[in-house]
Amino acid sequence: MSFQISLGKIRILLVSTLLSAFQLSATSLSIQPVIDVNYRPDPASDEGGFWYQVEKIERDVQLSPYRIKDQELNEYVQSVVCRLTPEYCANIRVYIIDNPNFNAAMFPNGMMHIWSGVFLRLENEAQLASILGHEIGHYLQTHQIQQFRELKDASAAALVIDIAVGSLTGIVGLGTLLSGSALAEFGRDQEREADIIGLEMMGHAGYDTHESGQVWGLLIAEREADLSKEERSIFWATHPTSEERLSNLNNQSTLFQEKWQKEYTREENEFRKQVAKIYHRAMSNHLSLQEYEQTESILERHKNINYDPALIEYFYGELYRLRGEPGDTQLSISAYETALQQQSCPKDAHKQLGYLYTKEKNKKLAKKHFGSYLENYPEAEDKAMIKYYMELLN
Amino acid sequence: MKLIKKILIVSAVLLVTSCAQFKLIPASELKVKGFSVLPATSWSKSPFEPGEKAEVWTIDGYSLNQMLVFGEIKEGETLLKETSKELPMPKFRAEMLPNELEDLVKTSIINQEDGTLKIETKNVRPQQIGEQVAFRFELEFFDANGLKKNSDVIVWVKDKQLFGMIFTAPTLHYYESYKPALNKTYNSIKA
Repeated sequence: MSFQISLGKIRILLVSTLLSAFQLSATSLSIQPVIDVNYRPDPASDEGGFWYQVEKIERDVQLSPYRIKDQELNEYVQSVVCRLTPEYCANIRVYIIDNPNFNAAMFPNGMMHIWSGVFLRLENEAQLASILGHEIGHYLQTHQIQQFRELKDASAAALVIDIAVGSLTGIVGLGTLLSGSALAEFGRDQEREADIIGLEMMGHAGYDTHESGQVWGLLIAEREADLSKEERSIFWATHPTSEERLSNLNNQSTLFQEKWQKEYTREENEFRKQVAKIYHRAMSNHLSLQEYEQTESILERHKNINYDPALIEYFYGELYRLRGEPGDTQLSISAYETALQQQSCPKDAHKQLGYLYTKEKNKKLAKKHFGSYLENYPEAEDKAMIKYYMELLN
Repeated sequence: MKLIKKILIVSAVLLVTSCAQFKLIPASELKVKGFSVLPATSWSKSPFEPGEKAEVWTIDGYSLNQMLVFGEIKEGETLLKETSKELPMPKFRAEMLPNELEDLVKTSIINQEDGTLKIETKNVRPQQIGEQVAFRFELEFFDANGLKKNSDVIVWVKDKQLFGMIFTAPTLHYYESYKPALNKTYNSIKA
């Protein structure tokens, strides 16, 4: 009989054990959790009813085709949760949702959703810890049930569940979401509590708490770069932010690190290694949103944090090709050609160049790239179409 | 709002007001949206119009099978009606090649369903319809309820205008069972 434990699970075990031994416990937080470890409400209570509905959602999430199930990535994210809160680690289950928008959501029963769009925007593990820590803060303070109880009528309460379902699939009417966002939004006090708890957890776990402010700074910059719309993001709808909040986080970080002097880290390598596994999928999905200013902002940041340059150029090629503004054809060709100089460039760049050169009436280069595409993908789903075009070009 | 939901709401309202007019599309040659087609089976045309130049048919109900029929879409126009400012519909350009037509169809469907469907493309190939070359391909995706669906798409550009038909049905049983009739229908198209 063979016995296998994944490296990721060993990491979770090791991190939890070591940190339990050496780290200050949840009692070191300035805002104490209001629930015990392994808390479950009375099933007959309103909170019990709320949990029941959320647990039904969780069963659907486990089977959802929109869930990213890569074992190593999931175990890595769970290990960060366990580093932040060794005591409550077993009560929190993280599900990575295949949605290129930025969102993370905490549910009262310990289910947490984090969307793939988060990984596209963050730069290191400390920033991931700030998002996870913030959401854990909501869980430890039972903000969701407080919000649920404050809602005045059943239909509004049902909307909270609908938004949860929408968070699962990303498929929720944006109009519905935005009109319901006033109901789904946490109060300022709740947001402040979650910020403080998340930041303190980060710091006690050894992460550089200044990265918390960095995250909000990145998101604000991306939102400002997006000239086309108002509050589209589900995250903004449920986590209102401001320059004041960013400034508060930065001040709290400084005070925390002055009080608890130790070595703080950002930890980039493992984070970027894990993100690289879903990079192509997440960026392709982001392009399909047609949020080209956002995509450009994301790619620009990726250049500075050394993701695979071939992939970055490839996605610039895709961006310009899909955007289709005057001059974009040439920009797209140039980006794909640059990307193809490296082995790691996805070879369907050849196909896109084939079509682009066809439009530019450069038959020789069009045929060359179509030929390269079929050499790399002899069983491509569109091989019949490519062969048809090669014959036309003859 | 999702397409199905919209269709159901509009249909329900029209039924209540006794204005619903599902129209029979018989299994005989007809001219629709600027081209001719001979449906291999009869359909019911919905009073709901998903696009300015598009109509939708069904046999057993929208969830089980639907045929989107569109044509005479000019440069700068969209395949489907815009449902939200945040999810603009892609616009047709007359010089689009197959990869761009594929993107146009996929993005239109995705944005109709609130922007986050994940669609895979299969079996992209040319299809002769009379003297016209059309592009045919299949799509595969999970809808909001987790039901796996397939679409069979045929599109062509003639006189700088876009024409086409898109059949969609659940993968389990319905898509395959209508394949022979669908092939016959698409083969009958006169552009």
